[in-house]
Amino acid sequence: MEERRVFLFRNIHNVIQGEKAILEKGYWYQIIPVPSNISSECGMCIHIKENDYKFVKHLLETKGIAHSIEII
Amino acid sequence: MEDYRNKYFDNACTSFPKPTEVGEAMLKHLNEGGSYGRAAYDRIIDSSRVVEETRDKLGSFIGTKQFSNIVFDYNATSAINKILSGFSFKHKTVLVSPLEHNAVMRPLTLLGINVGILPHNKDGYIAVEQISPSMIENVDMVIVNHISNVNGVVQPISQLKEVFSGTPLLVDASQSLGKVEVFADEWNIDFVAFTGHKGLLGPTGTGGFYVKNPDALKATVVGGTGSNSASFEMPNYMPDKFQAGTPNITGIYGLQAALNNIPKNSWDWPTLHSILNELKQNPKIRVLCAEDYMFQSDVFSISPYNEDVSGFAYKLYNEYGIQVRSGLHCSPLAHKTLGTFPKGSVRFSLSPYHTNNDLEFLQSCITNAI
Repeated sequence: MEERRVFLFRNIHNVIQGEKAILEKGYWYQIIPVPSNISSECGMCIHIKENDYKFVKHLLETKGIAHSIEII
Repeated sequence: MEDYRNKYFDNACTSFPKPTEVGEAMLKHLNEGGSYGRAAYDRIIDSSRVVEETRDKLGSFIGTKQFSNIVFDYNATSAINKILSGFSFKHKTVLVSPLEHNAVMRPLTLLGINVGILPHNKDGYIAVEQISPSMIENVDMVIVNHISNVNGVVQPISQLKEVFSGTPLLVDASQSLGKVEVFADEWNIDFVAFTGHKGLLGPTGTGGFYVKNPDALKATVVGGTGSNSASFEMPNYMPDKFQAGTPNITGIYGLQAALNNIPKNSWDWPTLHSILNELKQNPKIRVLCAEDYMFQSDVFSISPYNEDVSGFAYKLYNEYGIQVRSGLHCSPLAHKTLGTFPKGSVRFSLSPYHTNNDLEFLQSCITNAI
């Protein structure tokens, strides 16, 4: 099965902030459930295309939106 | 056909009418919406977006860039309780405005906090220039009702914070948010409590607070947040720290619609000032309002000298259809300050939907009824 890169956030506030930032820049994304083997945090994480994840990481860091990255 | 008149003058109690979009948005949530967080299907994602977009919008209204420090609650009273019960009072002493509401006075009494009254003019407007250095010492917090729900006086928040620069300031914006500008960051306000159903024209059951430094408060209501779920302790990050349980999402849908559809005033200030001036000429009533109209909002009261306030309010309703509130308005301190305790007053509070004709009709009803 293909590996996927996801951005994890500590709460919904940050998920929606992250989504807004990603949407503004026009990156493809998908909000998906957080896999339970990673965390039971807030129920949502954001899946980003492999080619875009470095840009999105930089974008979220620039905006000060706390996150972590996992491969699922 | 008789012209429509808006005879509802009890907007300080709760606003009416609301923008039509408010009810539509609430119905949309009831029919289509989901919860906030906790899972990742469209119904929940859509509702979570609405909650967070509303939080950001409220942050803009309050004048802060720290959107995550806006906490949803069910009204300003609940918010004030959370702030006061979560704050550590070292000296057990606060200073309050002379026009405080029981939303502040009762929690302070429950907590056993000593209360001093800030120096003020006859109308309750805080006389910042009379605050002496000794008043500032050993004070844990200053609390100010931004706009009085009795006489509508608008307090000088920024000047007050300049004097009390090192003391936490709690602003009760129940009557002010949506009516006058609030600049939490610029004025360096520590806490702002607000409600959604008055000046913001949203539904009841919405409101909350802003906290500049979340570390200054402990959470006194705890429970599930959908985050850090493996722990029995509340998360220490915002806004989760103060938001246990499912928020009033239906209400927040309505509040967002209200924030996105705030109408322009259909009445003007010179007309209101002219009506106040004319009412002041009537020897049978005392008008409770700001001495200087620079500090007057769209709330004022009258106190008939020889008539019971509830009887007068009933007469206005029974004979003219005017809907108002009479009594102490949950603000005995304000009435003690203004010399109208325990009788109280008959209060009139406007909506942006009122017209100058509505105001003039109100004036004629008061004059005829007295």
